[in-house]
Amino acid sequence: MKKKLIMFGLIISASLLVTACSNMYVSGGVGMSYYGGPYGGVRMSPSINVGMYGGGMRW
Amino acid sequence: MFTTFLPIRMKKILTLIFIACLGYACTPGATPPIASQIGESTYTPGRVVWHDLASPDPEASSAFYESVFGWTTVPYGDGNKKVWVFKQGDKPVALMAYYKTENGSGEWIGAISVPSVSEATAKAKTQGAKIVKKAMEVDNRGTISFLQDPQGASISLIKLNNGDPEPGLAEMNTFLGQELWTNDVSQSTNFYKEVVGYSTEEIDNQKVPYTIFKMGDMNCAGMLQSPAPDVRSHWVPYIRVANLDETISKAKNAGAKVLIEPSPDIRNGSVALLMDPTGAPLAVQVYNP
Repeated sequence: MKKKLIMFGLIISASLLVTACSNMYVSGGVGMSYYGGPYGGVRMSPSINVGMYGGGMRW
Repeated sequence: MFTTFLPIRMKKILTLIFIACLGYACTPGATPPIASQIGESTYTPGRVVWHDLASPDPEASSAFYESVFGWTTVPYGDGNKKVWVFKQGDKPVALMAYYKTENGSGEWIGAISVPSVSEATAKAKTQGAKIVKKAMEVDNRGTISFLQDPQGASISLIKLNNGDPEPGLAEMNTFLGQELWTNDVSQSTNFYKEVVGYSTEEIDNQKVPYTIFKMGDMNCAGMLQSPAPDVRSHWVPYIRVANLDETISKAKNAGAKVLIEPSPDIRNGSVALLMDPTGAPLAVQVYNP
């Protein structure tokens, strides 16, 4: 009985560990649901009003 | 347990399978050593301190950025955990991950340094942002969240493990910073003031109204009314280059589209807006203050 309980405990612990490990990330964004970029791809030709572009940042 | 009744050989096989599964699940890949290679000991809240490329085609993105900016691409991890670090020399400049995007296009996502990612993310939510990934710990990097601001612009909030990169003029072929093209200047101003703690400075003596997001005396990011009004608000990264014509030529050859050509009327001809082969917008600028 004692052996069975120990085995049961080990299996539960291992399953929790696997679950935790499978959620490890190497990148924050991996797996993120994401519609895509603003311009919709290089085949698109977004309308840009060049007259509205200017100003300038002092980086 | 049922394993008690299994033949010894079967138990060994199951044990091996279990260990293999455990090993696979618990291997986060060789996590990119980003924080330790770019971080200094101090933090500069408000600055854009890291850049992620969400790419639907990492191979095409890799080829483009290598040929145009001379970066190298180092893969880390396997399968759906695989990411790529763009390096300039030995130094990481950005990270790329594969995203199966619905519209098939990519985007650069800047990471703004904040003292507490969870607190700033919670504020963002109350201010109308969509939280795409809540605050989480990322190995060798720090705490990070991803969100879309109320205008739909993608941004992330970050606290790097080892401090932020030292402020200073960007090296050639690295990021100068980010600029927000917003469809609602007033709403974006309020949002970023509230979430990040920026103050703003308006520059009226230029061709178009321009806002600088500041933290104390430090310029952190720029903002202007979007010149692309039919497109959702978005952040545009700026990469410092030595020669604009040469960069544009390389970019075109590598599959980019030029959205705004250099013009004497625009920042003295020092800047161009490109769309990389996956559709991600980026600006290139000759910047020699």
